[in-house]
Amino acid sequence: MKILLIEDDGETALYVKRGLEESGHLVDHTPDGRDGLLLAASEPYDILIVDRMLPGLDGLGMVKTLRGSGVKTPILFLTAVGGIDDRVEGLDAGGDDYLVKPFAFSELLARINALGRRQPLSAEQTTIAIADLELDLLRHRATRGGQVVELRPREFRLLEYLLRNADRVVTRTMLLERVWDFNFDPQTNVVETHISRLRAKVDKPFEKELIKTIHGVGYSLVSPR
Amino acid sequence: MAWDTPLFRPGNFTPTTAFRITCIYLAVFIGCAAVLGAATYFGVSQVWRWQIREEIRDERQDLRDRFAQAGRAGLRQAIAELAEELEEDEGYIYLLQDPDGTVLAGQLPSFPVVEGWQEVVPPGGEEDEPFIAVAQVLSDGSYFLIGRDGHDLYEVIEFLEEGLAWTFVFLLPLSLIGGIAISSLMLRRVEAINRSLELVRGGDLGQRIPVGGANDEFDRLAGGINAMLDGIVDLTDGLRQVSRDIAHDLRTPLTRVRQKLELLEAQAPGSPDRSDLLATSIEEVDRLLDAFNALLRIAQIESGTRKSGFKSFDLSEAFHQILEDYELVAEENGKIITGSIEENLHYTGDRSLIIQMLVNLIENAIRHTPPGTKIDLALQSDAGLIAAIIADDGPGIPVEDREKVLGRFYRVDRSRLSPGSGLGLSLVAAVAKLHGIAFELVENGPGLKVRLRFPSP
Repeated sequence: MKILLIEDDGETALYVKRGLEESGHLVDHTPDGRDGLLLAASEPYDILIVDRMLPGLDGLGMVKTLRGSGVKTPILFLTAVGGIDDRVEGLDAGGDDYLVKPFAFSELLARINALGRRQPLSAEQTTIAIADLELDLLRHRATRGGQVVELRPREFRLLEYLLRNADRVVTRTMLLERVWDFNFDPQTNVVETHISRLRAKVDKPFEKELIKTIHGVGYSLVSPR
Repeated sequence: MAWDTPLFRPGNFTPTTAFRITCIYLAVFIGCAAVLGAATYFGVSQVWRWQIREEIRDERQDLRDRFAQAGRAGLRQAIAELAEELEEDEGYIYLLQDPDGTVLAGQLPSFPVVEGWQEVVPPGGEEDEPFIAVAQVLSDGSYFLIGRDGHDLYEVIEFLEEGLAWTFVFLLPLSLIGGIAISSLMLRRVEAINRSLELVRGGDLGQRIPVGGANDEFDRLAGGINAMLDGIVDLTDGLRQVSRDIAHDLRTPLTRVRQKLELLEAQAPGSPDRSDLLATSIEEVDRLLDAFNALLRIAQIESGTRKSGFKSFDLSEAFHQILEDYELVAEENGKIITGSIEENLHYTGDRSLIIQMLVNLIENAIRHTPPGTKIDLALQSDAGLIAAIIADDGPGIPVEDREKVLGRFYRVDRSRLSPGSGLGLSLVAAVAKLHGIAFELVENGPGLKVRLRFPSP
């Protein structure tokens, strides 16, 4: 993917750029908000990574301007401003995701991948399927191999999120934010517990295991080849 | 009376409020006196003037009657008689002259023909005390004037002028004193407040403004400022406590990281200990970052800015979700959660913070109790007031620790073997305070009962 990184801190920029390039992405970098705005508006990027606090033009204003001029490129905010309201502000301004510094690189990569190939689910699409697993979003019903799998509401949301991001890694934090709506780090293994319960219902009784643990990073729902 | 309010600020000549109040007082006082004086002056002098004219009119009427009866000759004779009778200073002057200007009778020389009321100075009279006279042309063309001495009027006017002048001579210093006294009385209180604030600014936060018993505007102002100062003291104390806590509690893990990094430096590349040391160092740093984030979050919640985002939400639904989520977690940890949740209870607040508060409390109950513990989550309303209870039958918290656990970094487990930052309950306390939720830890016999009483909307 072609990624534009707008980040004024040289060391962070280098760390992110190098990491993303090693993962096979093309990265352009500018430390200035105004330059970033021009580049983002003129070049076809797949993803923009924007620091909230920038010289020239601040990240929030930049994203608002971009969205105002009709640029729909997915945007990930990167910020040291980790306040509770800042996150909402960032997403309201038109950001698609929000990552607070300091972060693990794997977390950034997982989020970039989730953003990059996000295909908007068409309004008519009421089922998502991978292999023999199918989710009926209207009736809140999961089936695998034609067999109905009884899921609690939270387990259903968890499975839905994994399915929507099939073949990509989702981190624990991403799950907490999107499935639980927790913007904090709980002290117990609430995610792990639910994943293992979900596995017991969706994977264990069947031949192929779909939910994989990516050690040290998160989980992934992998379609069997 | 304290004369400690200067009219000008020392050093420059900017008028102080005291000066302005004094000036306004002076102007109003003198203005009133002037209006009163002017009214008296004109009123009294007009009455006298009118009195004199009345007398002249009477006198003239007699002479006119004479003219009507006996014509010019009769009038001439009458005037001559009157003028003869009167001594010069007895107050009347007369003049009768024929149409060509020849004086026929009276004490005055030939006069230009001017009809109506006028002021006339007779020959030998004083310029500044003219007679008041009225003149007319009679039916046969002769010109007739009669006047009266204005001496009494001028006496009265002089008396009035003198009186008023003296009034002002006394009034000026009197009103000046009054003005200064009033402004000084008022501003003395302001000065007292200023002096206290000066001391506060100089660092003496314990300084308070004296409050009188009158409960007037100044007392209320002083009370308000004192309350604000109390608030500031609380905040700075809190800040100081946090700085101490941070210094104390974050230094230990930082030291551990440093030691690990030193060990790492000494390791040969590729040694198996290396990756282990690296991993534990990162873990340690992550824990530090978690603690920092928690501190920031608490600080943010305590700052109260979140209040703007309060919305009404279904509290019962939030409780149900948390119960559902943590049933599994508790089971995994060998504990049982049960819940009795009243339906359709709505509450106005920050949903995400309330959820975090409940999660913290439930996680505490799960993490700090032995296996087999029963945890009970309850939400109910009584007469419109919502209350929640999170109770467990675990070891509880000793009475003497209950206050302390709400402070930052405090942990009942002094060995600090179990993971955690010691910030969980501080966050709960901060969220509760933001929402005005009464939050207490009580004995559950055995165990701990956390009671949350939501404020009425």
